[in-house]
Parts: sequence; C-alpha cells; structure tokens
Amino acid sequence: MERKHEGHEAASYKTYIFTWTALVLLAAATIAVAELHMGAASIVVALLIASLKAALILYFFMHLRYEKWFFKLAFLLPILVFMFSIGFTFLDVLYR
Amino acid sequence: MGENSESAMQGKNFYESGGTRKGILSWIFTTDHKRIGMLYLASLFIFFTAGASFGLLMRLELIAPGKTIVTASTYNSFFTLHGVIMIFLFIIPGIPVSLGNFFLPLQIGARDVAFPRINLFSWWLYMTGGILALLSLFTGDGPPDTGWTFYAPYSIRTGTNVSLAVFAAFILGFSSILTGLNFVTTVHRLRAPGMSWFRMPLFVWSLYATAWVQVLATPILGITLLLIIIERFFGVGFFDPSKGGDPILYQHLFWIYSHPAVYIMIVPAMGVVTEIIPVFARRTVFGYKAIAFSSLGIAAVGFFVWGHHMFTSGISDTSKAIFSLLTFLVAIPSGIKVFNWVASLYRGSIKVDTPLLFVISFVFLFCIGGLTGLINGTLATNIHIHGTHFIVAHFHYVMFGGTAFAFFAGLHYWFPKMCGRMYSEARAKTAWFFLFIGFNILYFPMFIVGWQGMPRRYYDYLPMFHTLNLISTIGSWILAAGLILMFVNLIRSITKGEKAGSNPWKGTTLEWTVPSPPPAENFDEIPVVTHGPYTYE
Amino acid sequence: MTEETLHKTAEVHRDYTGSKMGMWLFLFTEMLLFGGMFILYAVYRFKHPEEFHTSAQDLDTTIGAINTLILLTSSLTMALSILALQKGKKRLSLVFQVLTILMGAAFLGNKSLEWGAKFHHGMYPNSAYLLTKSSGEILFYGLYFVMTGIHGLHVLIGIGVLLFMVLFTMRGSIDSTNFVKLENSGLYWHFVDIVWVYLFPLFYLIT
Repeated sequence: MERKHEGHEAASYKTYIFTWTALVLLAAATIAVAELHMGAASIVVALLIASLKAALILYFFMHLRYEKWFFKLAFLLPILVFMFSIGFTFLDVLYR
Repeated sequence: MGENSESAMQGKNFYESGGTRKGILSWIFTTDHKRIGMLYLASLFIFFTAGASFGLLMRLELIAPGKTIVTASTYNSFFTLHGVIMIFLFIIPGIPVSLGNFFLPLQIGARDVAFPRINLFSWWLYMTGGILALLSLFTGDGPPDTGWTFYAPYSIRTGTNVSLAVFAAFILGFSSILTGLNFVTTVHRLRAPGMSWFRMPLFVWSLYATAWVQVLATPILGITLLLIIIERFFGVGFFDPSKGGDPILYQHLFWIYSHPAVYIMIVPAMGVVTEIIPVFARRTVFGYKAIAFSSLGIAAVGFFVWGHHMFTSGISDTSKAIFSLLTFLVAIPSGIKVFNWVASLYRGSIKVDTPLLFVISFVFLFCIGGLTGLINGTLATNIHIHGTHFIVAHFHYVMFGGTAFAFFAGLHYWFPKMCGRMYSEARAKTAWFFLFIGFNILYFPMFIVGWQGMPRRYYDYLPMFHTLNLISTIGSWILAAGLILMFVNLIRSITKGEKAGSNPWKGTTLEWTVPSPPPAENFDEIPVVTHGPYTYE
Repeated sequence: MTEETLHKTAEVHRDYTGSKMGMWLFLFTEMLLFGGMFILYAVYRFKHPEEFHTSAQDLDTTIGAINTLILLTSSLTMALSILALQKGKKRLSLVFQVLTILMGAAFLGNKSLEWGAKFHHGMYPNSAYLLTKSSGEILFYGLYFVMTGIHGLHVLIGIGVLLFMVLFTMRGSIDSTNFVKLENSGLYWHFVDIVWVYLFPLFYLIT
C-alpha cells in the first residue's frame, strides 16, 4: 500500500563511506586497546567498542535511523530478553 | 484465490474455490489462511491421537505395580514420545496455528495473514518435524528415552535415537517462529480501517502476545537443541562434566525457552475463553484492557521464572529465592483474568451450550492447576514434590484441563463458521461430561500419590499406591471415551450436521459477519470498524 | 497460486513496511540464537579466565583483523548496492552486489585456512590432543569452533541469498521501485557482520 519508501532521501554514498571509515577506525582501536593489557577492564572496553560498531551498523547501514518507531522500540525487546537471560543465569553462576 | 477471487465473491466458499490446483494439491499448496488452518487442524488431530495413545499405554502399564505390559526401557520411550508429541506437535502450535490461522485475519478484518507463503511453509516445516519425530521411534538404535526435556549429559551419551528427535524439535521450533513473526506483522499491518488496538477482539490480543513469545523465546531452544546435536556428533564438551562443561547450563538454556513456552501454550487458550464468555453471557467483557494487558503481562513475566524448574538441580540459593519470588508474580495477571471472566458472567443472560461448558470447566481446572503451581513454586514444598506425580497432575491440569479444554471449546464455538454446519448439541454435551469426569478421575489421584512420594517417569511403583493408580487408569478410559465421542460427533457433523447460518451464536466479532464457511477472500469489502468487539444491547 | 496471480496480489498490497517488519523479527530470533551461545561463552569465560587468555594467544590476530576489515567493507558495498539500485543505477548495484559476495567468499576462505591450520595441529573438538589440555582450553576451543562455525554458516547462507539477488536484479524483478528483497538481504548481511563485530574481540583479543 505504501509505495513510498520512508526517509531514504537522507541516505547518501557519503554517509555510508563515513560510517565505514568510523567502523574501520573503531576496529583498529579495539586491537590497539587490547595491546594495552588492561586486565579485567579490557573486556568492558572491548564490548563497548563492539557495541558502538554495532550501533553504527544498525543506525546507518541497516537504516534504523529512518525507520518507524516500531522498529526502534521493538529492537529493545530481544536485547532485554538477552540481558535478563544472561543476568539471571549469572545469579546462579555467581553465587553457586 | 487470486484469479478466482471475483467468482469467489459471488457466493463460493473457500472450500469450493481452491485456485488452479485440484484435489489434495489445492490444499497442500494453498496460501489461504483458512485452508492452512484446516490443514493444521487435521495434522494436529493425527498427532494428538498418537500422543494420547502413548498416554493411554502409560496409564495401562501403571494399572498395577510391577511390569504389566511393557519393559522399563519401552516405558521410557513412551513418556519421551508422549511428551515430545504432545508438547512440540500439539499444544505449542495448537491453538495459534489452527484457530489462530483461521480466525486472526477474519477477526481483524483482513483478507489473509501478512505472509501467506511463509504461513504455508511453516505448515510444511511442521509436518517435516512431526514425521521426523515419529520416525525417531522406528529408526536408529531404538526410540529416544530421555524425556521431552533432553537433559544433558544423559541425552549426549545415550545410544538411542535422540539426534533425530532433537532435530525434529528444532524444525518444529523454526515453524513456530515463522508463525509468530507472521502474526505479529499481520496484527501490526493488516488491521481493517477503524480496528484500533483496543477494538481488537481479545483472542487477537492473546495471539499477539503469544507471537512475541514465539519470536523471542524459541531461538534459544533452537540453539540449545542444535548444541545437543553438535555435542553428540563432535563431542565439543559444553555440557559434559568430564570435559569441564556444566550440565546445569543446559537446563538454564532449555528452560529459558521452555518456561515461556508454557505461556505460548496457555495464553491463546485464555484468549479463546475470553472470546466465548461474552457471547454466551450476552454482555460485554468485564475489564477489556485489564485482560489485554494481562496477556502481555503473562508473556513478559514468563521470561523471568525459568529457574523454578531447577530448584533441585543444584543452582545457587540466591537464584532459587529470586526465581521463587518471581514465580508468584505470574499469579497476578492470571488472577486478573480469572476474576474478569467471572465478573463477565455475573448478571449475564447465560446460555449453557457446549462451548461455555468447556469454558467453565477450563476456569475450574485452570484454577486447580494454577494454584497447585504456587505449591510447586514455593522452595520448601518444591523439594518435597519435585519429580513426583504431583507435578504430572499439576501440568496436566493446566495444559490438558486448561489449554486442551479451551481448544475444544473453541473448536465447538467456531465449528459452524469453519464447516458451515452445526454439530449435535446432545452428543457434544455427553462428550463434555465424559471428558470432564474422566479428566478428574484420571489426574486428581496423581496429586495424592505424588504428595505421598510416587516419582514420575517410573514404570513401577510401591504397592501402597496401587488403588489410586488403578482409579487413575480407569479415568483414562473414561477420558478416552469422551475424546472418541467428541471427535466422532465433530467429524460426522462436517457432512451430516444441520446447516448453520452465518451467525448461530449471535457473536459480535467480525468473523460472524461473513458467510459460513467464509469465501476465499473473507470479505467482499474490507469492513470499517466503528466500535469495540463485544457490544450487546 | 500461479505466477501471474502472485504478481497480481503483489501489486495489490506491496507492503514494504510489513516485509521489513517480518525481516527484523526474523533477525531478532537470530540475535537470540547467537545470544544462547554468548551466555555459554560468558559463563565459561567467567569460570576459566586464565585458560581463555592463554588459548586466545594461539589464535592469529592478523587473520582475525583482516577478516574484520573484509566483513566491514562488505557491509559498505552491501549498503551501497541498495542505494545504487534506489537511484536506478542497476549496473553499479550489480557491481556492488558481486563485490559483497566476493568479500563474503574471501572471509570464508580465510576462515577455512585458519581452521585448517588448527586441524593440522590436532586442534579440533574431541581430538586426542585437545583432550589432554585443561577444561578451560577445551571449552574455549569448543566455543571458538561452534560460534565461528555457525557464524560462517550464516555468511554462506548470506552469499546464497545474494546470488539470488544478483539474478533478480539482472532479470529486473527487483528494481528502483521494488527493492525490498534486496534491502532485506542487506539487513541479514549486516546482522551477520554485527555478530562478527562481537566475535572478533571476544575470541582474538582476550587480555
């Protein structure tokens, strides 16, 4: 019914190439950070950088930026399910 | 459908307009949601019969202590196959794929689901999974004997045909996911003009909540089962203590899905009940929004309580306490529903026909099942009854007394719409009587023997449990008689029943505005909805 | 349904938002499928931090980094192919699609070299050599092979889907007004990339 594709006017070759540059720089950063041997903090930093990369891919490459509220909101559901699943599993593992 | 649609609109129902294909091909390659619903109904019937037969055989074995008809290992296969078939092939897909497929588009004023071909594909997957599950009985080194939960490390080490059964369950999970994403998209995209969220029938709300659980929980089962297969073929060691793996993690992963799956089973049943009560009480449903949100509430809380299946598995005390506390939360939305149903009946002009009889027995049996669930959820009592027949009685009260009775209610309620004819009311009531009495004679004694300590999943028991087991087995025969009578009545009425008009029950939801059986494209013109679903004078 | 009736219904309701919704819901299931394995990873890494660290030293960070670069770039060409098609540049879109496929294949080629080297050293699940190691190392390599293996399978499926898209684009059944199939394939491809974004530091960069 909706033939028009919402919001694609904003996407351009330039946006995508900037996104890719940022992704490559972040990939380099995560390798560089690993060389610093920060111990326990390194996993946190690695996951933060990975999540930032994932967010860039989702937001620009996967067009989440241009989508309706449903997509943005619904996306939180699997993340919440995963967080709770891992959190409750750790309630067992941590205190066993 | 399609090119025939113009002629279909001139009085042809969906049985008569099968498209370009003829005979059986017009069914197994159909994309009409109603035909797919009927396909599922027929398949469900076959698998239910198979599952029920295993159940009856188990009861026959337990008629007396000692070996009666089968050996211990055969009994192990019986309860495994009974569980796998009833859970993965009957009760999880059950109401959504049959009644849901048929009535979801009709109730929201759509011509079909959002992805008709994926809908057909999910039926094909379902059949593939079902046939593989049955094949696991006859191929490999003997039928699987792990129980439907496939607990590691036994499921990794047993020489029986576990891999095939697990693979079947994996495929069935995929089928369930496809149904779920189809329904979510359908509800979001294909509601008729004016069909706002709070004008949707509550059956649709329950299917919507269920569909989300199907989408979000089933993949965890998928990967868990896949890991079992990988373990069996490659010996990776995730769940094998000799390689450092942790079998309790298997249980975590398994129940992260399988507890929400319990709500995949019961929430659509609650939707059917909510649909039937206003029609037979001739008044609008009490607390529409409370019922709608409690469906979502049950679906959400269902994700946080899986640990109550593992109280005796050796998980940490902290997590036991938290899981136990959260388990009690489930009682709140369930209670909201029960009170709303009772309040909806209050001061109604109640007409006691077969659908309502099943619905009222649902409420009664569900309350017993639900309240005994609180006994299971309490840490101290759980240790006493864990792994006994008390648990068996509890979940059969919820699943059979609950979901299956609601399914039967829906089957009778929508039968005239699906088939265009009415079943014999007298026979249906007799069948209901046998089912209700037989059910209680079959399962209530299990509460008692379980409380006294009779474990589940054994082919033998102490002589002190003999009398109650005998009563229970006799109950299983009464129940079987009721099932046979009900199915004979329904199947016979497909061709022999009296013609039913488009609205025999005077229902107010959209499916009753179209002819029975509905035409291929459901509506001549997509209706414009101006009011809520249950408006009575 | 016959071919032309299919076409007819497609004309009646070409619901792009609906199609994409279905695809996103499918990706949610994929997220949680991998999520189950990440739960295992988290628990076993928590239990055996030292062994995970020493095992990760034996993985080749250079190959991992190259593969990261390849997948990130393939995501770029994937996004560009959709944009090109939207702008009606069919030929350019095809070039980008083929590039994406080639990079996917290069990723798998690298992966198989990496696995092959491990196999050559007797490192594979349940191998006699691996079983002499500590349980933390057994679990690390178990997770490594299973998670990168299932991820690789997804790359392979993505390549298969994209081959169909190339065919559809050449035949003209997807074009600048009707490209939701390509867009959905793109969503899948990017998702597989995201999984790798997490796998890379979690397996190659443990310090």
